[in-house]
Amino acid sequence: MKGLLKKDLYMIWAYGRMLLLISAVFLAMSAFVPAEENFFIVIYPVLLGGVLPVTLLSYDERFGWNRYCDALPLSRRQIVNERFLMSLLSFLVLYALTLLVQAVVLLPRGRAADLGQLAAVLPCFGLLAPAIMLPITLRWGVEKGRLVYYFFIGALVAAGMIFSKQIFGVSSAITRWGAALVLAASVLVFAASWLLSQRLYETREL
Amino acid sequence: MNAIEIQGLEKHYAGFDLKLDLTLPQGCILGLVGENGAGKTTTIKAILGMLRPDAGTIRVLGQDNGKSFVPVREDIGVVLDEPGFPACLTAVQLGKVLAGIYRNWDAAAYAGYLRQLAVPTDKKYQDFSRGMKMKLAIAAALSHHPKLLVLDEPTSGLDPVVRDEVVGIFSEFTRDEEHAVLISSHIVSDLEKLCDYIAFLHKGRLLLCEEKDALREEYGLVQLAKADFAALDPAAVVGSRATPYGVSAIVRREALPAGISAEPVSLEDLFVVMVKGEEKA
Repeated sequence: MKGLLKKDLYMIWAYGRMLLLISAVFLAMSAFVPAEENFFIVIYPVLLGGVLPVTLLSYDERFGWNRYCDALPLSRRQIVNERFLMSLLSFLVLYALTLLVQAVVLLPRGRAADLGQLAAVLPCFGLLAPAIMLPITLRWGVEKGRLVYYFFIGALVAAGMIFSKQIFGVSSAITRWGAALVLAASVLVFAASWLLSQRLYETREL
Repeated sequence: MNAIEIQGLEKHYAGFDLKLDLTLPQGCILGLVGENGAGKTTTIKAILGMLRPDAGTIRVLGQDNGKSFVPVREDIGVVLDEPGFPACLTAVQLGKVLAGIYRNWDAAAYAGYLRQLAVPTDKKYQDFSRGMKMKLAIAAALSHHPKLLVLDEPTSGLDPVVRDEVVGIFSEFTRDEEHAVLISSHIVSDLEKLCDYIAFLHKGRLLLCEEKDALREEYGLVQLAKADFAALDPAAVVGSRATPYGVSAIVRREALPAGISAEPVSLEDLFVVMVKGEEKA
């Protein structure tokens, strides 16, 4: 597993540097643009953090790494676990950075409740994308995963734009419970996808 | 103990069926010869547990490869027809990745193989030639002290000098009696130099699997006039081809009448004639 993580880190450095740079730009911009006015700027780095390791799967498929990996002393389950772990780590790094920037912006203005709700809602963007894409990509290949990716990103960003007004400035019990529910659902879906992917990848012939 | 035992293996795809029994004793090198689509890669994938057979059993290093096979892979070195390494990695980075996967990874041995095979350490894999990629795959396959090497076309793309060097490395590997090699190749001359056993695979079926020396003793090449050839027992003839001077035929030596002597036959000729059995004159 350590070797797989190392390989993915090398690949993120080689193929994901530009995306990381874009994330850094968005993080910097989010410090100056109020989140409720352009929610996409806030969620984009988190979204990217979740899907970055998924995009590496397309490189793996092109290089034939999946087949080679299957001949190494690794179980299919370990291979799936590494993918999810990498997605989780990548998401957590960008999630933490996003919250840090937003804390600097929101706390001096006395908007701790907004920060809390943002913290609860952001995992929905970072975890749901890999949770939906990984099982499809692992079982049916990158092409099908990519189709789902475009559809999902579009739907998620649209939902974010629509509901951003409910996330910020309206700190009622309903929105607090709603945000908590979104957080719980995101974590649950990610965990369920992890288990499902283990089963799906077990049956794939490479 | 046999390094590989395949019994009643069946794998069916649309338009292709593989049915196979095959044994590789420890301490031996088995060459798998077959034309494109004969089933060599499918056989290798089945041995490595990369696909689910429709029927049959495969034991590798004494272990059924259907279950609990992951630890056995620690003792198997693999070179696939496309090595499958990420294009962005250098040989050094690949070594670090594999060190995190194989428990027995020997970084010093890996560095030694890279030096011996003149593989650049700081160049990205994407900038390697086909031959260089294969050399890196061979170095990676050998550096965790495997007991069994499974090699799918490892010498393709290599120039003759490097091929000779690689063949030497595989020969050296089997000096240890616990080691075994299964190697598939189109380059039959490499297998002729290297292998103890030869298996001919054609359209998913094994045409033969015998000791190389026994094959040489059993089969021979004769050049005969058409009339002399016609007088031969048809059971003696494996295959033949008309030439401007008569008939060139591969025959079973023991079935030849006294007075006709056969020259040694190359494995390549034997394979081609066996595959084209219908070309009998």
